[in-house]
Amino acid sequence: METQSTSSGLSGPKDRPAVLKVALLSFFTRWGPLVILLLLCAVIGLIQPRFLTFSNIINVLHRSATLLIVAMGMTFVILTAGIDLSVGGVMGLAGAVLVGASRLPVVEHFALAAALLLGAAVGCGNAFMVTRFRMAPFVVTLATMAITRSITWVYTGGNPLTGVPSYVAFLGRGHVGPFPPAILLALVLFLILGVLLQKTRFGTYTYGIGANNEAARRFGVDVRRHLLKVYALSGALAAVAGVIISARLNSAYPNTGEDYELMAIAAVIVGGSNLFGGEGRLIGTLFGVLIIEVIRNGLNLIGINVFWHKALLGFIILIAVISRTLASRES
Amino acid sequence: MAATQFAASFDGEQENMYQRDETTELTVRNHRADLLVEMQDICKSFGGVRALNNITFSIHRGEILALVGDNGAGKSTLIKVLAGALIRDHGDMIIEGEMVKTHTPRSAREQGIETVYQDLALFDQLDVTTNFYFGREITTKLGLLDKREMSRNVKLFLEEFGIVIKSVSQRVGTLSGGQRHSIAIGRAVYVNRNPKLIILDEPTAGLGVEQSRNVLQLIRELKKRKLAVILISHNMDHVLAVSERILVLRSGKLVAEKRTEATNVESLLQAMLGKGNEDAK
Repeated sequence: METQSTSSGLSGPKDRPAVLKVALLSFFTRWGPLVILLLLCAVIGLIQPRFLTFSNIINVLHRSATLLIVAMGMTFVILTAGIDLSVGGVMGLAGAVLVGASRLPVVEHFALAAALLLGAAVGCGNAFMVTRFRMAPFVVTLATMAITRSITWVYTGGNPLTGVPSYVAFLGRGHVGPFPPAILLALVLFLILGVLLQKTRFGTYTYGIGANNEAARRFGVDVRRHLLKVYALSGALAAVAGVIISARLNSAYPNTGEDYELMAIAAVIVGGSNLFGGEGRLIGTLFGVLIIEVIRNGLNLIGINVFWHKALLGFIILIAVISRTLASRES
Repeated sequence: MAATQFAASFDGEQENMYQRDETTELTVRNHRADLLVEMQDICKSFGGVRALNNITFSIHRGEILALVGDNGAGKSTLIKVLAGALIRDHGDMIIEGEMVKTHTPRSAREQGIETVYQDLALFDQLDVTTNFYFGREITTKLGLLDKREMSRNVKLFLEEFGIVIKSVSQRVGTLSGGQRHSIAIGRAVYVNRNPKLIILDEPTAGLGVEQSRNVLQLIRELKKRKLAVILISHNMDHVLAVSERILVLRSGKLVAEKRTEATNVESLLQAMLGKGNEDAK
């Protein structure tokens, strides 16, 4: 017995154009971000050769590191069909807690741990509200964003708090060979989280919950508990990014992390992840992050008004979403 | 109801609540050795609504039993009780001769009962292998997914059941309707280490002629492997094509039990709709 039929009902020479169209769209959805990135680098490099110098590349990578760390956490959340708008607020608050805790005797040794735990705790709080009260993640994390941002501004009095712990300062201003530690940390986290997502049950269930929440539950996944872990991860990673920025500036600024939630979401979407969950890869997010930073850096070097950066990014987001929609429809 | 009372009903000494034709009586008596599940006087209410009213039936190993009835007849409620998704208010459930007190989806699976609901519970964005193993992945000593082993096992299984797809790395969402149904049924058989009874809720819903034919053939393959199948379907042609015995529910009651070879669509419809002399007391 054979249960067979072509998945798209296509067969024969007449259908080759349609098959080619689907293949091209699928290729673009998967590798389009890399193609766009390489094109951008080529174009900007041609216009402004300084773009392709080693020091500038390191500069781009350094700026990309913190966004990548936040965006990786956002990828996990979006894969579950959720969203986390609180990451920017967590970044600011984590920096403030890091500096604030470092001023207290005894506690100063645990300032970094306190900042990271705070991020994870905010994430857990988000997940609790989403799962226990069945609230939309957009609404919950929007509220958390406002709360964390407000607390940061009140705590800092609107002024930067100076003095990160010495054991953290290296993270922001040190070097490992030619590379800032932030780049290496982002790379290490990328590799670890990549394995977690692609090679473990945790990753499979993350995808599964986004693809079909009810089915995941039927097959024994404790969805509530899993989302708790995913949002905690996002919060913790946002805290890491906040710590890095504070270490770089040796200060916690109340507006640290502003716009990061939108940039992180943009990076994830441009990288090919499905905003409705179940599809996406960290490598895509990496490409998305690099596209964002290359545009920003390139426009600056060329001398174009940097405020055009968001418009250009907006176009790229539209292209990414349209190609994904077309690819899904055709296939 | 005690086992002796249940046995007496087969001797015809006890007035039956529903009509059972002679061939069915003989068949059931001969198959007692292969008895897999017995449901006795099952009742289930939702508030003031009696969804199941003293349902009694049995199913044997390797048997394909169809469950038909109009919307609201109680079919879905009955299979959910059987699958452990709902707790019965009253009645006994006996699986392989053992009385079952507490029945949950997990205990149902442990006893070899798997259910494929109408929504198929597939993960469209994930590949066939991941769908097959979701929740029961094989891992290496390091705790990482052993995708190669899982893919290999799934390929062998699909070949054995004659389910042809391009690749087990293919996303399930890109498969045809018939392939998706086949994958869902195959998965139900595959993931259970000791499958005995597969419950299929509208397995051919929304499928074309050829795809439906393939799914029905797959159901026959299950029978060849001595798996019992309970099939819910609104499609009488499919029911008659593949089942051996048909239970008719109406308003939560079991109103008829027929041998497939001894009935037809008209007779089934009459029983479902309560026309003619089919009504039980």
